[in-house]
Amino acid sequence: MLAFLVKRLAGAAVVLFVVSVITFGLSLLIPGDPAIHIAGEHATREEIAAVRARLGLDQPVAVRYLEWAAAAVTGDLGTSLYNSQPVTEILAERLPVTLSLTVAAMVVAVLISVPLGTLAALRPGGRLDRVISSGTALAVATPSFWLGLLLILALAITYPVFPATGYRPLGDGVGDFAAHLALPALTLGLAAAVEPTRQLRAALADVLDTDYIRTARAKGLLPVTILRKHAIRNAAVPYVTVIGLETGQLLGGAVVVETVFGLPGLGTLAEATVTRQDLPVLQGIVIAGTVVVVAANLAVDLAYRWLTPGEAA
Amino acid sequence: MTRQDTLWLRLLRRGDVVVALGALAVFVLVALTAPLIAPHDPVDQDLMHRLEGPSAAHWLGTDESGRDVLSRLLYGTRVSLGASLLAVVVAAVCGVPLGLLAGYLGRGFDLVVSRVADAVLSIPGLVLAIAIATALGPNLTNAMLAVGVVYAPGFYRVTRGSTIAVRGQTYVQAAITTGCSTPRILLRHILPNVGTPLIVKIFLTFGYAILAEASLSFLGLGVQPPLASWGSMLKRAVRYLEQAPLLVVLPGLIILVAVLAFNTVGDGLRDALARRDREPA
Repeated sequence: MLAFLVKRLAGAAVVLFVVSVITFGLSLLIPGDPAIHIAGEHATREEIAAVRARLGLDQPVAVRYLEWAAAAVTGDLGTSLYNSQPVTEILAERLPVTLSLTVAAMVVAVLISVPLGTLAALRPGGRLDRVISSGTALAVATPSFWLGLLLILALAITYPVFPATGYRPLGDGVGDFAAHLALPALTLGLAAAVEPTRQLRAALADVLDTDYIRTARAKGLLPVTILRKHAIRNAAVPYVTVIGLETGQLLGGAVVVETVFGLPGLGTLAEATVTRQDLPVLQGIVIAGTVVVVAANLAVDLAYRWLTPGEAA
Repeated sequence: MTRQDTLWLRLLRRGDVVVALGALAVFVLVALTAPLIAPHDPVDQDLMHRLEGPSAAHWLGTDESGRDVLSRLLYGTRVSLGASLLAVVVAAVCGVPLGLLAGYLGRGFDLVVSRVADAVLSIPGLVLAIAIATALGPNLTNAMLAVGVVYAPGFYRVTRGSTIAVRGQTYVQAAITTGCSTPRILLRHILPNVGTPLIVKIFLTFGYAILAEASLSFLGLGVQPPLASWGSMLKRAVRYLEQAPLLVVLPGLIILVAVLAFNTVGDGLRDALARRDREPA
């Protein structure tokens, strides 16, 4: 188990290293010379050189990357170009909102995909299976922000069941927190339920077609008992993997969904930085998002190991 | 009849795929002929007739500046499909050659490129696209270049996997023995045989690219006014959600139909391919 853990952690470290190079590289994409931009159009050659030295832009790219990465590892991701606030501080304020939304959406995805995937697998090719499969095809093609707007229109404006926009921290009371998160989580969770539903249906249909399930049926076990005691456990492995892999998708989707519902998370932050061209903050969001995804993938690997103790990973 | 012919015949036997192909044909036709078929100029403002419902003059009503919604949707088809095409081309141009090389050469090259692809895939896609597009400067072309980069690892993986599968086959070995150059082997012998999984990938990626374009335009990173794409029309319509819900409903529905059509063709092609490969040639 320890060797497995070390191997996976090393893999995660490689991914984070490559992502850090890509993230740093973003600053090289900006057209024009940032020193001229900062010093102003009418600056003399000496003034521009001074700015360049102050920002360290006269150093080779590799040196600049190492300095940036060394600071990043200690939690220093620079300061916002917009209000000079440390990027780590800004991320720490916003991350809990995005994580709450992501977790809530994942719960929604599980609540949708487990019953639908199971029902569809009971009679593959049957009417229910076909309806569910059409439903997933529709859900995957639906723009999430559009779905969010329709939900606001239906459940916040026409029938005011939920608040249309805004966020309440968990500290203000569970009811308020949940009410404000309900529509965004439903919006994000519906799309995230598609792959897990398909995966569970396929895995479960395969399991239900095996000899030992036929034996259990012949024994006269109730269908519910067969599902619970024999089938679900075997279909759980690919299901857990897919749920974990949805994390990246959810974080990306959260950007748009947060914007629709006015949630003060990383997504609305990303949207705001676009118009301000605040690259350090965006770099911070990329890093924070990747760390969450890599952590989720690690958790999936460990869960996989735990669910299939016999197999070598 | 060749295997390729039976594949297409099998595909055309599925009703949903035929309908989806028909829908795609309509979308492409609209994109090409928008100036001819649009009843009004899509940027022509008429402030006397703002946010009106459907009428004889404006079949789908007018927007907040009194512009004809139908005409804007028709022109938006051109913007949305063109932008998505750009992203798919960028993804394929980045991913396919690298996948061919990594699959064929293996070893160090494969290891390095595969790690980079893994890393790109662990960054939340839309976040990376926003970051790249912001660094390059927010406009539609840059946004879709960024989306293309995000989807490139997908093309890389498909191509690499298929290349590895055919690399060891006799005809490739024969080509190597007769002294074919590596580029010739890759382009003449391997690429044609990884082509069909790539076509599936192109259709499915096209669907995702339409959604990505809509999302980025919704965030203000895409097409700049007065031009409109389906996503940017939605963005502007949000403010009038209560007064004119049709302005929000229509562009979203069209996005949904377009993405559904691309996905249906892609899925149908994949199923037909999987069934063909299970049967003897």
